[in-house]
Amino acid sequence: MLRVEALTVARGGRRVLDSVDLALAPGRTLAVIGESGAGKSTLIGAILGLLRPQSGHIAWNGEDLRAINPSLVMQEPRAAFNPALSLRRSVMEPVRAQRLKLPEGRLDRLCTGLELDPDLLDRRPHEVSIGQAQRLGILRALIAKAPLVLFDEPLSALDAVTQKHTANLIAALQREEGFAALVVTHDLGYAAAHADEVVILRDGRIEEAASAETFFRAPQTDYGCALCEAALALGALERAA
Amino acid sequence: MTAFAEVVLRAVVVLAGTALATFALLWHAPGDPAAAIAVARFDAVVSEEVVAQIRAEAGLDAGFWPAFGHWITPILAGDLGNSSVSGRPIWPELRDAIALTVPLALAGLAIGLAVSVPLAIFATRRPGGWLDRGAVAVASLGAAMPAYWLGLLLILLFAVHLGWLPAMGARTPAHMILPALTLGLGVAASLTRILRSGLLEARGQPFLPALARRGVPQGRIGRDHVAPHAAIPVVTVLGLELAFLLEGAVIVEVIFARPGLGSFLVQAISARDFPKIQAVVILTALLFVTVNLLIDLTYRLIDPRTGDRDA
Repeated sequence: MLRVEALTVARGGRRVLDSVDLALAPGRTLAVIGESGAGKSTLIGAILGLLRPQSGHIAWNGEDLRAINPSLVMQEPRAAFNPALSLRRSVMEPVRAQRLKLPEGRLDRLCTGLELDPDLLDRRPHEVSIGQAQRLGILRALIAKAPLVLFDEPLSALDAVTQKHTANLIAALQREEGFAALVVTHDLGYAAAHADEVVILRDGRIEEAASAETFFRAPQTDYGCALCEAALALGALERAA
Repeated sequence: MTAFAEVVLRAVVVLAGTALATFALLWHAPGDPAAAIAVARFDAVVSEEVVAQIRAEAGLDAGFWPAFGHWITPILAGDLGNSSVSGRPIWPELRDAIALTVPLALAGLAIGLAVSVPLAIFATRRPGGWLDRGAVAVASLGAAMPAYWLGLLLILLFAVHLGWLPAMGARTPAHMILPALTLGLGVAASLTRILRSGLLEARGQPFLPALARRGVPQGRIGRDHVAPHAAIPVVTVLGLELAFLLEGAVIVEVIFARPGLGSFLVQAISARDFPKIQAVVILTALLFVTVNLLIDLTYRLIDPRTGDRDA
């Protein structure tokens, strides 16, 4: 289980995250929602150990999180890959590095699920579309069967149909393999459809934390209400329902 | 047009332009070239008849374009021709000079790489740290120091005061140490600065931080992800370093009284020996074109996006 306690991260004298607490159990999905600059990506960076927190504690089952090699889907699809290497090499890098034995056909199965032609893997990042690069990032995050997967805006470059298809695949795989998913997203429709819990970040602090069902039925804060009303006005929540 | 054909065409244009520009510069240089050749050949003032004979022999009496044609035609067939002063074939003499200069330039390059690569790697482990700042200061000082001055300082220290190394000539391998150091330290200075900024930029690539979390060992991250990216500016600079090395070798050979391309070229220029000067220029241009072609190909290997951007 992921546990983040009193996490504070400062940059340039400003607190980007301030006393953030959260917990995420295996098989569950936590959606982290908030406006740009709220500290969502910083939270992912701190959990991965890429940013040094000023204070606080991050652990997986009480131990160092690094031991479980968590996976990450980066926000910028093309920047997530080394431009000089083939996508196959980048996608398979966690498998090689961790000396994992993949079940037969896992790569093909994931490619099919993500609607990716396996031949794309022999190209370089600049030779695929941004949407394809984003799904290849998801493929890389899922292939190594990490117990914790961090998604930073994982569907932002996909069209609506592919978004739905990809989100369903992630959910199906999660039910099967039981990984914990922390998803940073602006997409309330996705959160309503797939998250178990929701955390609203605002100015680096947790504004509201609740089960997804509770939050979308009756948000407790003004900001939570405003978010849900905006999403309803745009039709995002109706679409998810 | 294919990329290869374009590269070859570019090389041909550069070589033709170089040949024409060199010939034009020598043609329009002050003084009568035929008279200068006569003085160099006979080491005395000669009669007008002899000068006229030399002018006709060198094809200088028929105007610019026929003279250019007279010179360039055998070169196109692979014959660098004969010295207009000694009358002997140029190639054997030039080959001997190259055989002395190329090892010196390569030794300088080896010293440059041996100093700059570890220095840049250690310096960028802690950007802004004392080692990093020290490396930048030493590299800036080295880049600002002309080769002839550094050469004289090295002679003063190692040959005059300490008496450890010979300063003049090219008789033994020990004679190469000080000239190679003079060239190599200059190369090291500019390479360190470029490699340092290349490494810092490479380490800032957005895909890098997550690699270690995926279980990729630091050594493999450095080898597969950081080094190729940092190599791109270094490859560019190595091409420029080649120019520095050849240009530096000419000066360094004069300082250390070494025979080689430097003295070959200086003698040829003093004697207005057109064919010799042009042979050196053409070979140098050919070398640069080849090196640039290799750099272009290396770019495409390191970063396949290069070819696409060019297309």
